[in-house]
Amino acid sequence: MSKKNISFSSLIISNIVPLIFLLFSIAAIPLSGLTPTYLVQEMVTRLGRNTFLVLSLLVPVMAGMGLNFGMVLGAMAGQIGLILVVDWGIGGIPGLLIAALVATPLSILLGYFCGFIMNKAKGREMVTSYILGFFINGVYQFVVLYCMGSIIPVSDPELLLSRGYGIRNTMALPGLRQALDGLVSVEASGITIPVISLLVTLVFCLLLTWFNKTKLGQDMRAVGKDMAVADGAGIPVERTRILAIIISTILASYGQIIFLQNIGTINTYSSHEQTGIFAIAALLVGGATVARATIGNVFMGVILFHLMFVVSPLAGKNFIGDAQLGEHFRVFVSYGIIAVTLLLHAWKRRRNLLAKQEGKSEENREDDVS
Amino acid sequence: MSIQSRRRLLIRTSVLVLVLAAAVGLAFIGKRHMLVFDNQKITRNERVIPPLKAARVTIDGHVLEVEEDDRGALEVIGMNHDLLVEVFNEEGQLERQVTFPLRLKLEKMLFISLPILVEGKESPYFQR
Repeated sequence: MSKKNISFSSLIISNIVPLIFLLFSIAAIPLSGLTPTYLVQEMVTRLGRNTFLVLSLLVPVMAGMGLNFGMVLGAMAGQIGLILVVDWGIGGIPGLLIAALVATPLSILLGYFCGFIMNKAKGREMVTSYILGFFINGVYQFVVLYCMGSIIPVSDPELLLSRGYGIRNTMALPGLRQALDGLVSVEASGITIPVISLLVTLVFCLLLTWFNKTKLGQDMRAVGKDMAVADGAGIPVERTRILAIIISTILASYGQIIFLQNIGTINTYSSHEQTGIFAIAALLVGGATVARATIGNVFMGVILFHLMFVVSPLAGKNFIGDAQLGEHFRVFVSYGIIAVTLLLHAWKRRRNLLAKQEGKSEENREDDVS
Repeated sequence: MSIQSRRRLLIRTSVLVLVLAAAVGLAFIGKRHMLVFDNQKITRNERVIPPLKAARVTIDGHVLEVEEDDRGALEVIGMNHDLLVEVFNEEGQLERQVTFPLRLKLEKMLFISLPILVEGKESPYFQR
């Protein structure tokens, strides 16, 4: 009986975050007054838009580097690719592909830099990557605000600030807006399904599953489990960790391109800022932890997190009479959920450590008696 | 340099060249062109060509109606397009239809004179 209780309670504890979100959403949906069709449409659109970004976080988790807050570096690379493509006047799928081609070397460079720094800060990867995001944001702002139009040629004057250099705060994406989503879309029961975006995500999931089984994937898992053991087994630990971050950064840049083509505009200086926080929050809401994340967590997280995103402002407005409160609530929840998960992770780690130490002292006592 | 590293360098260089070639190809395929359809009086080789009464331009499913002495613009993506121009008389009845194959390269903006295009004797492109 007690064993059953323990397993049930541990099941609840290990899934506490998705459960809270599920209960919250169930309570908020009727309050919001939104129709099921609208909600399903929103979830389908957001699955196509956000899943790729969240999936990019899986590789560093696999390599034991925690949640890669440094994915904003990739997002910035993706945005630079898109800005250049808009200036060159290229649209449609070719435009997205060229943006990805431009973003790839930038992401490799930034990913290498991020991985290199993370290797210097083993055990504190998350806070390091978070701060690194701020640092590279400064470099990004310097490039986009001062270099573009002066050092980096920008031919379209409509993209530039009135002073003649620097990109405008908000940019439309002519010819790129919904280029992927609109390529093939199917309408079913009043719901438009962006087939290609979902297909790209699905193919990426399959690739990720395949990658887990490759030599590099196995090496990453070994490094994630125990760096010392992996090193002893001849796995180049630092190189593997750098590769994990490079892959994550490249995928984040592609994810940002997919995200922005769906939105149709770029907030040049702020679109990338929330990318990391929202993607990480979504992954954690899906039941992932700092040490373990699966593709299932990604899908579950994107649905639950974005369901809350859609529902909470209207629920807040109808319940309290102030939509702004719902708006603040979802930002509060994003940061709050990350804080709670990190606390839970620290608590679990401490508990396991204590249990290990107790086990060791028991063994020592037995040895002394014998 | 060992054979293995030479082979690796060769493979990497070929991949890079292929990627660059693909990028150039994509740039042509995905180039956005702003087409300005001008329906105003135009002088070519000391010959004055009058504007059309009214015209409807169809390209890639986009439709643009251009009145006499007016102009309109459409954006297209890609190199090859078929242009359909329908000319209407003063009563609004369809007078004739002209199809014109548009072969574009890397032009950002292109001015097309509808009276010349419908006449079909000279190139309809002109500079502003």
